[in-house]
Amino acid sequence: MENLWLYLQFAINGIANGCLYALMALGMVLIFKTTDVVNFAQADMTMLSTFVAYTALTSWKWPFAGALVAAIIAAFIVGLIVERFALRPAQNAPVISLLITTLGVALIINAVAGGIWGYQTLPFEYPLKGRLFSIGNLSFTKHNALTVVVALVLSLGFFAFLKFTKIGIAMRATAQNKLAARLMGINVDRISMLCWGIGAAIGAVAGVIITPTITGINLNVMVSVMLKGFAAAVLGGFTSLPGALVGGLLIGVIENLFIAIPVDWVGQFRETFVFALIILILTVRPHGLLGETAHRGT
Amino acid sequence: MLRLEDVDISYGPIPALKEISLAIPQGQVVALLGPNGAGKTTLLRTISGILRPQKGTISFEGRRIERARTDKIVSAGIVQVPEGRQLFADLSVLENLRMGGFLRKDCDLQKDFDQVFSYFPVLRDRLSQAAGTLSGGEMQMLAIGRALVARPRLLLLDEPSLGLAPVIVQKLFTVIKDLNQRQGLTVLLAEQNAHLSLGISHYAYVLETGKLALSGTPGELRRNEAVQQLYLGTKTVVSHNKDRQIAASIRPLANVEEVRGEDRSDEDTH
Ligand SMILES: Nc1ncnc2c1ncn2[C@@H]1O[C@H](COP(=O)(O)OP(=O)(O)OP(=O)(O)O)[C@@H](O)[C@H]1O
Ligand SMILES: [Mg+2]
Repeated sequence: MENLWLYLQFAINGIANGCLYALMALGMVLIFKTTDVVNFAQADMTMLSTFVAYTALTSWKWPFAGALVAAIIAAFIVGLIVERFALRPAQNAPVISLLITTLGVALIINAVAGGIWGYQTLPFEYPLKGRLFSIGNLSFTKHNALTVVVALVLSLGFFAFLKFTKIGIAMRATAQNKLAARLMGINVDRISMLCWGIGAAIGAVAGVIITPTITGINLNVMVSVMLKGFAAAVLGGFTSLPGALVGGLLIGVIENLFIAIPVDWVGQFRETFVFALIILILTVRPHGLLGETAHRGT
Repeated sequence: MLRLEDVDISYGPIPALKEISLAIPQGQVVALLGPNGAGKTTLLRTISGILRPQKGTISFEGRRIERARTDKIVSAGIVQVPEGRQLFADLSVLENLRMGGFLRKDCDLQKDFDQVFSYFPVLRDRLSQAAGTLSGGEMQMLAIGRALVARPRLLLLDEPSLGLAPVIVQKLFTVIKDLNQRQGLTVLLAEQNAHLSLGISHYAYVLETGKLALSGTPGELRRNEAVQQLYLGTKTVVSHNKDRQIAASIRPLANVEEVRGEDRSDEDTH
């Protein structure tokens, strides 16, 4: 019985973590769907915007919400710049070259951030400490509540944007058929740029909220978050936005359940287990959980 | 209204169109005929700014557009219904129509939707269906409807008859004719179906392997020996992948009489 509570508690923490992986995945899937590029710079772009939040919190003494907004704006601008100056000039290159371009962008951002903030791990102060409420032995921390609420509002808002606004529909249209989008007068370059901005901004939200739960912020701290986001996206099919959410939640929960298993080495190797499980799922469902099995004709 | 002068286009080193000069007067339906690979699609994509000519000029109502961005060309009033429909397959019928109005400043598209439904009532019943699940004929109707929502002044149609049953093709051509006659819409119609195209057009150009081979009124072209042989069915043309459609488009010369009834070039009326 004791154990059951423990597992439940870890599952709750897992849902919170999973929400953040899901957001990371959402950003990557959005960029992939409209531009066919897997953004391997997502970790470094997120790291950069999280450092902006750090500076806003510690140097400018901004409240946490203000720092979050600063990070979102910084990420959006970085996303626009990366699309405009790194990817668009190479847009007719083969996809593999574009992947290398994103790796190059990652290295550049990493160097720039290292120059500004240094190479050490900096503590990230977080105002939301302690628990919000408990049920039995289960405690719901303020952090978990914030994470879930933010992820829910953000993803629902984003889906509504894609569903109901003209620009949102144009984003989906561009993702499906660029030639037709251009022939309807949609400026496809501008839509790609917007997707990079929004994708980066969604990642930044995940980065800022997750940082306090890891030790602090440094240049490489986002890499494992991005990898899990990437895995979540793959698990969800990589072309499905709801799939990204489902994938993220699954990875978060599974990872935390591995921590709960009271055997030392299982906890240590939890990331290995998570990825092994993903491989297993993909052998059964090669197109991911919600991925399209085949392309429909036009 | 639209004028091309001495336009050359190549895909890399391979030339696709050479020295194309043509004019589309306001209020007319102009047909662009030619077999597979003649360069019809290439020409239409160039007009829409998807491809850039290596040489030559394209002007629309006096303004040069050969270097203009596609969205500028669309907002100037040239809208294309591309070959193979190119719908947004996972978007609903309504969303596809909304995208037709992407550049419209006024957000009131309902009147335009109603106009589309008056031509293609079947679309009204399928508003929330994904475009990719429509039948071929419905897809072509939606592709035309989507372009109409953009309020074109020059409509470019790239093989609207492709892969469709003769009755549906007939119906689409009736709509095209009606749009021209009642709304004054100017149309450039790229087709392999010479019979029907000549039946609704004022003038036609014949494209062969990247060059304009002939041009004339429908009456002139029908009397032309080469056109009869190649397009009007006294000789069977079968080239690679579209023979099914070619087979549908080729009919014996005896049928010319019945199409002539619809012909609108003066010299052709008996
Ligand atoms: N993207 C491309 N790259 C290289 N060559 C191309 C490309 N698109 C078309 N071509 C070539 O240009 C020529 C004209 O093709 P185009 O598609 O314009 O012909 P078409 O008249 O539209 O034919 P169809 O009736 O089959 O649609 C063909 O020889 C074709 O192989
Ligand atoms: Mg063609």
